[in-house]
Amino acid sequence: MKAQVTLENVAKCYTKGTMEIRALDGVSIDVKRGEFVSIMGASGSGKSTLLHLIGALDRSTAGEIYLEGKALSSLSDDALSDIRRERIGFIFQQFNLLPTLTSFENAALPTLLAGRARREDRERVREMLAAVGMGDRLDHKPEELSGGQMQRVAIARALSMQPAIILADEPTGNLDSKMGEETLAILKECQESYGQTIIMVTHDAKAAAYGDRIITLKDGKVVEELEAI
Amino acid sequence: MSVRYGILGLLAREPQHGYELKNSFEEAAGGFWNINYGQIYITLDSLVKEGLVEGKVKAGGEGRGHNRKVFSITPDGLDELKRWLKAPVDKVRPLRDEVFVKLAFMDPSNPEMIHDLLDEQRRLYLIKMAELTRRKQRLRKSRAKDKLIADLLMDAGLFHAEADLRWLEHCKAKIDSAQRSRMNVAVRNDG
Amino acid sequence: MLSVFGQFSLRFIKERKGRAAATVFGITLGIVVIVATAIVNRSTLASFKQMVTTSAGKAELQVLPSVRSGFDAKYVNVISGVRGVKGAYPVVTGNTRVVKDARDVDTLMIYGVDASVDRKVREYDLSKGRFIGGRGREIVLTSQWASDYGVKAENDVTLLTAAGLKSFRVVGLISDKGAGNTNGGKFAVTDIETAREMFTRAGRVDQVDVTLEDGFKEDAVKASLESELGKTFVVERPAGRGKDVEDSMAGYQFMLSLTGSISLLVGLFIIYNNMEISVEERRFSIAMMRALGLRRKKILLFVLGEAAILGSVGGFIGVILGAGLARSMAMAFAGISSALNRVNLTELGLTPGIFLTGLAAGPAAAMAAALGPAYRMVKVSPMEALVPVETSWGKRNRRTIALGMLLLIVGAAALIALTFPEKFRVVRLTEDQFKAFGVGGLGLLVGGSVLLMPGALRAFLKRVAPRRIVPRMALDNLGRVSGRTSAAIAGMMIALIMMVSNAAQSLSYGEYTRNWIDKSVGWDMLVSSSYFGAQMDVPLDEEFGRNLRAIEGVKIACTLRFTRASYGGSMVNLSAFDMNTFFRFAKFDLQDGEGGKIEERMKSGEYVAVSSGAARTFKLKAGNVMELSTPDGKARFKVAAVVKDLGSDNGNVYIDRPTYKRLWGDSRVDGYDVVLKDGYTVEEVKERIEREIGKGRHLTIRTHEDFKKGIMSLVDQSFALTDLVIYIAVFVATVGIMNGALISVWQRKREISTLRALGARRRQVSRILLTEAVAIGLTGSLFGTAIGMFLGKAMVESGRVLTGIILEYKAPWPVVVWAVALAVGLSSVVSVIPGRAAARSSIVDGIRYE
Repeated sequence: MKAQVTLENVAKCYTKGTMEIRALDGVSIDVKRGEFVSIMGASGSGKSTLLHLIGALDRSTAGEIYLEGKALSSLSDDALSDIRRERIGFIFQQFNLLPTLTSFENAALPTLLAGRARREDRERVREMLAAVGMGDRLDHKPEELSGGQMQRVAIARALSMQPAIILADEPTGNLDSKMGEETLAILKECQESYGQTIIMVTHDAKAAAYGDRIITLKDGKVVEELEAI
Repeated sequence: MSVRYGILGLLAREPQHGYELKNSFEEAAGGFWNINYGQIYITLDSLVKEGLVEGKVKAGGEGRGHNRKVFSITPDGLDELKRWLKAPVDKVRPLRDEVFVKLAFMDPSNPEMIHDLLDEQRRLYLIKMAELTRRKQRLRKSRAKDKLIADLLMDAGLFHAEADLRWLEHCKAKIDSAQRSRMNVAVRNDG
Repeated sequence: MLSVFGQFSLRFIKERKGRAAATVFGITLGIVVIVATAIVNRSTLASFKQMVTTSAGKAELQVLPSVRSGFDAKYVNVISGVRGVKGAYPVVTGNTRVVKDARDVDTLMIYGVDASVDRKVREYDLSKGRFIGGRGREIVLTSQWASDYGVKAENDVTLLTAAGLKSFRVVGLISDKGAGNTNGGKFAVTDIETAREMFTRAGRVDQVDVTLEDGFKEDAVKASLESELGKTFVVERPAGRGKDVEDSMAGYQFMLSLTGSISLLVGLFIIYNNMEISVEERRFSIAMMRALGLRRKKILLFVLGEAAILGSVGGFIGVILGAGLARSMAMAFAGISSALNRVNLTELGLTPGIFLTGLAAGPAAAMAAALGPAYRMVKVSPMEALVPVETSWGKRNRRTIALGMLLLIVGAAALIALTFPEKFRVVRLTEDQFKAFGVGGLGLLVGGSVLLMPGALRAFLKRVAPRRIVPRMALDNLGRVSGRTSAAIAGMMIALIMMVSNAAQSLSYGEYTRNWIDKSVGWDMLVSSSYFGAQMDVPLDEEFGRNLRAIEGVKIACTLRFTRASYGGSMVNLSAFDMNTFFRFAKFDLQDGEGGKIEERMKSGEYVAVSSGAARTFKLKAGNVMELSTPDGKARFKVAAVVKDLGSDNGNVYIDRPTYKRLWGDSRVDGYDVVLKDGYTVEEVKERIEREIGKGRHLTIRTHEDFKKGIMSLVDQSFALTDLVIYIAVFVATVGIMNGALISVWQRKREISTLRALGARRRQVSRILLTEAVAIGLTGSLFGTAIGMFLGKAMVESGRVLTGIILEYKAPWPVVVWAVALAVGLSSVVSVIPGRAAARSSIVDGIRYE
């Protein structure tokens, strides 16, 4: 089966002040549809950068990234925006909820951005929120929620458009271990019940253990790929 | 020590044959503790001697010797078990780790071998952890009773493995920097 | 500590040169206009005084007439006979035009003096030739003027006189020492008899300069002279003159000062905006420094210090530029001031006082404007350095709301009272109190609304939560920084209040003027030898009138004479028309009085008509009695009617010419209102007049159309300066909107990046910014135009109380539509830059945890 996500010799450099930093230095990875891939590495290993590139949040300096067969570098910004909205669900380390919107509105944000606010869409968002256990806090604003609750809203948001690929950046980073375990269980559920592809960046080995495959980065290069099955 | 109490605990739940105990034990220990029949029977014998466990031959049972007997816990055994359960553990984890022993006897001038060992060990731990995680997930979905204890046991395994992993990475880092300073000294001496 | 300051402030200024420059520009703008206005204001009076004192020479006192036609020469002897008077030197003076090669090139102030004795009182420093003798048309010019116009001693110059253009022999040139410095060199001296001929002052004198005997005090002699001469004379010290000038310039000076203040406010707004951005950008560094132990006071000092530095630079530049601007402004006002007062603005120099004030005002203004942002920075908690908190937005304050409501209500009440002056008995206030009431009321109204706006905004936005995401985000964002949003709205609102109220006044006044001209001005041509409004002293005579009537095509030629007379301690303008012919082509637009009887009453010579301005100033009604001072005493008249007229001041009094001639002994004519016979065009009759009787007389013939256009353009001009300032204010308000948008883009980095990461297109992000800007522009313009119409009405109504002129309020709908369109259009345009910045910002940078 052809890979859903392919990275071909991807490199990313950027300048910070007078220094040039090579965040990624020739990374090639294939991710199949429905796979759960964990990406590990110390800080500065380039793992977050990798996720940002896959998520079309930034452009690579060299190499090519293919998402469902399309080369990202050939796409316009609008096309990339559409992909981000419809095909990818991004879970940020710091949740990044918008402070003036309620939980429901935050979770529904991708649908609002798509200009879709039909009843089915609203229903689905409510379902997602209920599935993560936030069904009774739809009208709360982020300032009224705890860290764990915010994370769950963020997950519901990532799932609201039923994306093909879910990208998670240190999803357990700001949570205690019990909360973290629940989050990971939800992600695993997404993979198993809905066939979504999960790519997760983490430095937490217990979280990485949820993956079917564990890839380790060091100094911007892949140094290990483990089949965990 | 814990083997004693592990067996007592298992028997407190339900009486079992000797051979059944091995499986139950390993299952309860989350796969991280392989135990052999020999250890079990020796422990069973001493427990029976202490009057904490009794063995009855089941009428019409198969097998010979220990295998014919069904073991169950005595009231004294229960008391002892309860007492042990309540008392906290005050021992530090003993340094019997094989890895550590291997490291101690390995050649410091051959860093590649050490790195390979550490990497291999890490891989092993990760795979083991993935396995455990998978079992946790299966347990979640299953209809078994008393899920919580088993879950906690598996968590214990995971936490320990994580700690070990961090120690491994820590070793690698320190060995690397020691290697570098040795090379600097050598260069200085040569030059 | 200085090094920390250097790190914080100086390095920042270097890095953000653009921002620093914008701040400096704001200060410069304010200072420039203030300095220029101060210079022009000051120099008008100063120039006049200088002219008077240099021309007065050694005279300690001057005796002046209370009428324009001078006084009988016999009084010179009376004056010299008064105790304490050493010498009495008569002067006949006036302004005339110099004609060269059939074009008139300049205006000269002429002093006609007694050549034999005048040198005792005035210093004439001859650089060439000799002083005038006692005969013929001899003249002495200043060497400066002579070299400017290429005239040498022994040359001839042609001047306009009552008898037409005549040639004068230049017998000498004087340097600019002493009297030669008068009027910036546009000064000439001739024999007193010659001057009398020029200005038709036979047997009369325009002023007598008096020197005193040793040991006599000015006050004492002044008193003696006054008691000896009576009320029709004015005795003054030369340096003490100028009240007239002050009074007439008062209106313009008020306008100039108002303009200056508005510019300064506009400048302050720019500064405030820029300091806010630059201080917000350094929020993190400040939090860091606070965490490391920096005291709040020090932060305040840093920010204020930075403002002071920028302010000083701006102040310095502003003062220099202001001096330059004063020159151009003077050019614009030269026409008005010389027309009004024959004052050449000569002293446009930068006095030390103005210089220092400008320099000090720069940093002072900058620091004042920076107080707001500085205060906000002081409240930054050190925690912000550790926890990346979304800037917490201000909470509602009970006290602010109460204060805001109070100001709003009081201000609105004041303005409403002005709109219905009779109802609210505001009529009794004096002019200054009225102005104060109006300005104060407006200020309170605006201040109150600014205070209330944030709260009202938040309440409104809470209720209106749009479904669609772009307007939702836009309005949410505006609500979160309700203070800043309100300031931006207020900026636009104030600018448009000014625009609309100014347009309302301009429209109303223009309408009134046009109506007046159409109704009351019935002549086809105005023939005069002077320039309308320029008040030259070279009139025509009745002989000319007889010739004029003989020209083919001329049906009526009505004499007119504009002069001034003393009434009740003030001066009124006197307009003398030959009432026999006047009513054949003109009408009085009555405000009070019996229309049917007015013609016969005016012809009788026992009645006068007063303009609405005069009626207001002197509280006159039809039927009252007026006592005017004549050279021989007083004359009593009954008021036949109050009529609508142009211009305010002290108003006009219309009188029958024969009566005027008799009582004031003045038979000069300023011009003729000419009505043409049917079938004749203006062009052909004009040409005929010039050909047959105009030679050598340098006539000015204005058609009705010209006159109308001229007046209308004067009206427009008077509102034009305000228009300029208004457009500057609109520009600044727009810049304020842009600045606010830029700040919020910077502050909302994380949010914007999140939106983009979740799939928002670039266009959606820039549309959010666009919606925000347009919302501000639209709100500001809607409120601004509404209040502006209200204010315009108040000003038009109150104008009636101030000037007595009843203007009809004309709602300036075209301007309202234009203002709203302009505000919305500019806001949209100006949101492009922040919009692009937001849309193109790096997603990854915004998400990253610093």
